[in-house]
Amino acid sequence: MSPTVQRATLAPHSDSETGAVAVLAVLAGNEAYGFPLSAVREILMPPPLTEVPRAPGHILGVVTVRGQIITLVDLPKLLHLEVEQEDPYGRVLLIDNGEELIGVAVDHVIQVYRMEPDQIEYASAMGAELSAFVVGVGRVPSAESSDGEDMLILIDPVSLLGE
Amino acid sequence: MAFHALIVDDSSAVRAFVRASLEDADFARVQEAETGFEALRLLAANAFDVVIVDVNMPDINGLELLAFMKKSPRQQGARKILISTQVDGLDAKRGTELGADAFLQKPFEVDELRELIRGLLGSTEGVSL
Amino acid sequence: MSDPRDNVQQEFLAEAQELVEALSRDLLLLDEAHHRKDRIDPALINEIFRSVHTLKGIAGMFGYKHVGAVAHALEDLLDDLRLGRTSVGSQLLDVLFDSVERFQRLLALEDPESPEEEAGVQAYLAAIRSIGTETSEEEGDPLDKYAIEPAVLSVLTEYEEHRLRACIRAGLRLYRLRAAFDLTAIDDSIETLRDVASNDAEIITYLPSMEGGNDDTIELVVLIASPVPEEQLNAHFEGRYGTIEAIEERTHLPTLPPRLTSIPSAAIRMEPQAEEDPGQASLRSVANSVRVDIRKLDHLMNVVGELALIRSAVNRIVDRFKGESMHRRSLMDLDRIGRGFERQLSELRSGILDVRMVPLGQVFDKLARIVRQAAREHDKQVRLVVTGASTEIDKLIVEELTDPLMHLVRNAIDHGIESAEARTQVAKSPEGTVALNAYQKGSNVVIEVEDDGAGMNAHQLREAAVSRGLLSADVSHELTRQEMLNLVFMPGLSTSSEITGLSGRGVGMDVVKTNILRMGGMISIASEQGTGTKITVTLPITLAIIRALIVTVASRTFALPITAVREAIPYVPEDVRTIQGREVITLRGETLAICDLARLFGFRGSTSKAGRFVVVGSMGNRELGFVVDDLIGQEDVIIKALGKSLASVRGFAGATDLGDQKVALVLDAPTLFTEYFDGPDALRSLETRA
Repeated sequence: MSPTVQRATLAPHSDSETGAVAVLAVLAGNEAYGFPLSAVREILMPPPLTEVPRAPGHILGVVTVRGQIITLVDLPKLLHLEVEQEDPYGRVLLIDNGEELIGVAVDHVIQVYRMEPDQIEYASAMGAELSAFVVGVGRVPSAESSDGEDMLILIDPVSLLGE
Repeated sequence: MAFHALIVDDSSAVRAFVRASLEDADFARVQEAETGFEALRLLAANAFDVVIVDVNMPDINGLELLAFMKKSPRQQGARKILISTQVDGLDAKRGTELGADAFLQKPFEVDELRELIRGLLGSTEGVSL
Repeated sequence: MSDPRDNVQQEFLAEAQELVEALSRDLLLLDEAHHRKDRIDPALINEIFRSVHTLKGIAGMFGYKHVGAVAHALEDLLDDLRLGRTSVGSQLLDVLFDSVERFQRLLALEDPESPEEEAGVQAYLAAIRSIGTETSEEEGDPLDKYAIEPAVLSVLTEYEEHRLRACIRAGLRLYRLRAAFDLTAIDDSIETLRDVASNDAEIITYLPSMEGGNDDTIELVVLIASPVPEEQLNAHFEGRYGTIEAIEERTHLPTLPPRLTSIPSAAIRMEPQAEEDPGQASLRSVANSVRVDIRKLDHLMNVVGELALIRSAVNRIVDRFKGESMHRRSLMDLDRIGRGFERQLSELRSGILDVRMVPLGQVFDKLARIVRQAAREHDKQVRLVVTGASTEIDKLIVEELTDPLMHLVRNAIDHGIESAEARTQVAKSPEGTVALNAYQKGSNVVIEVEDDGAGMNAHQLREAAVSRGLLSADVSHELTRQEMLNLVFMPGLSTSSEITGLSGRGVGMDVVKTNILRMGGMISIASEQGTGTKITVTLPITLAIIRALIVTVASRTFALPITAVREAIPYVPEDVRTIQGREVITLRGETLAICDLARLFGFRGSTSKAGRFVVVGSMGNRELGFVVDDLIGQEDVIIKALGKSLASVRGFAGATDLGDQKVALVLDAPTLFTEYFDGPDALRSLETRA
């Protein structure tokens, strides 16, 4: 019960012995994303949204969660990814980026995976375009077929700080 | 009747009270000191017509300030009023020997203070009016 | 002639409040020293005396009869105490502690001379007088032992003389330090001297001397008592101040050994305090602080806003000369200066915000009193541990915070901490601990109220909720343990006193929660049965409550700070004319520019429908009408900052929670004015050309 401020992160060197990290997988747009579970504070039903005129396109607006004003982010737009059709989001994740809580709108939550380091391809090996927000890509057993693999875009919570 | 007064008291309410009493009635210029040290600084740089001092202050007390003013060439023209309460009556007595011209016992009234100062300043030629 | 007392009444109340707070703090230190059987610092007792003494003096002058009477009786008692005619005991402490609440109540009276209070005051005075004085036999006057000049003795107050005697009696030696001090820095120098001395000497008094001084410096003779030999003391002060000489003893008695070796020598202060000690910290902060009316700070903030407007006016002039090559150099200089100005302005803004911050120690001191009181009432042994008392938070929050925290602390003792016997039975220390921890986390302050008491019974909470019909039995079985604990915040449950008995927590927890939420905070609970309970309160560091006009624009709700609003008038589309591409109306013969907020913010929908309003805003000497759809009304709202990701969005000062999960954006009038009159790029264009 000590007052430690935790900066949640999905860095290559994780805290546990094996380096395994718990990742919350969610679906947004037509992509699956992963957040380090340690950074997820809450999963909420979407609260009423107040749009903020003049805000950047990836910001949906603000909501209030127990009196706290929280900025709600549209993940695919933040990453400049194309979305086939825009469905109303079904859940809001409260993500602790180390400084404040950020709301992330998602369609639904898939499940929590424990990922070993060898399941993760780190962003340094990927294009520079995504690396500002993305730690890497994780491979998990496919939800549809027994032998296939699904890809998770692993989000760095600290990157949700804004400019 | 314009005069230059100094009030030394660690209570801001008393200082505000004295200031308001004097500035309202006359054309007094009132300076305030919260501590004995602050008073020393002001006494070294200004000649006052009236100095009102609380006897009971930490560090440098009112008696010490009286003794200082007695020796200070700048303050030879100053009338000195010592403020005390019942409980430090003994201390007030000592003030007489140290050159206090008058005493005020807390709580005092606006008119009491004004009368006292009028009396003190009227009784001397040396005050610049 | 008006009575000057009216004008200084506020000054009196503020000082009286401060004195009572200082008194309360010092009493806790005294109580603690007494409890630990430590030597009691005479300076502490003198401080307590001085608070009451000053209070008595000013109460009489401002017509607070009862306060004056109580202070007077206490003053006599404390005078006896500091002059050694009585000593600290539990009866005396009880009487002193009672005075704090009593003073606070009497100061809050509508009629400070209310006859209804008479009986209570008289009873209390009798209690004070029942504490007797002791007459101690003194053989001879110890002052005779030393060759102190009469001139020195004649300027000592009775108290200083008493301290002098007490020190001599305790076997301390007397020293005289002569040193010149720079008048401009004398307070700091004395502070340092005091620090140096505090380890092994007591300073009796400072005597200003006329010798060796001039307009800029003054020589002080400092009278010091110390058990330390001359050489050692000299080594201590060496170089910093003049030398120290021992005051000669009159007769050549053999040097007395300290009489009682078991009692720490009178010159040794209380053990060095840990840096977190709230009493010490706040004492210091009081000594170096000024009182500021929060409205004055609001005023300063408005001035900052005005300065920003002036800055943009200058920019406008600069713009006029743009493109004229002969002014190029000057424009670049102006630009550089302008950016410097803006930096300083933002420094000023954050400086003013900083002034609103006060240490939480202010609340913790009050809580310490509650702990003592509650422990006494229940005959429990409770130790209070405080960390982070220096953590700072907005003054307005501190005021709102006192009640909820008091409630939590009281609950912890009333229902958390077990009796000494019960604790011993479960192999716990008989003394329970209540911990108050505060720390900053990002832009929040976290306050934990933790106890090592019996903890809460989650299952009993659940059963109570079901039996009260607050929860269906089905649902109740799906609850996690944490969810069961959270039931304690449910209104129907927490007000029931019988639940309190069995759950170990409860009364008014829903109210506590509501209050914390209203401040934009959060509250959470953790509890282990048998181990203890921890309640965590998280609050924003700063909140600003403003009065705002709530309006709607295209079905969206906005708040406009009332300070920027002059009036609101019906909007008549037929009256709108266009001058130089800007829409204007005529108000009382004057042309008023208007700005349709729906259009400004790019909201789609009809802008010509009837029944709309023009809110006339005014900043400095400019006026601008904001066209809105509807006026909802005025409300006091708490402005909360928008997140970092919205920092670049101009036009909003923040957001406010209107309840029911509804959020309204708070319009930033200065920015909107600047934008409208100077164009959104007025500031930026200069910056990019630099």
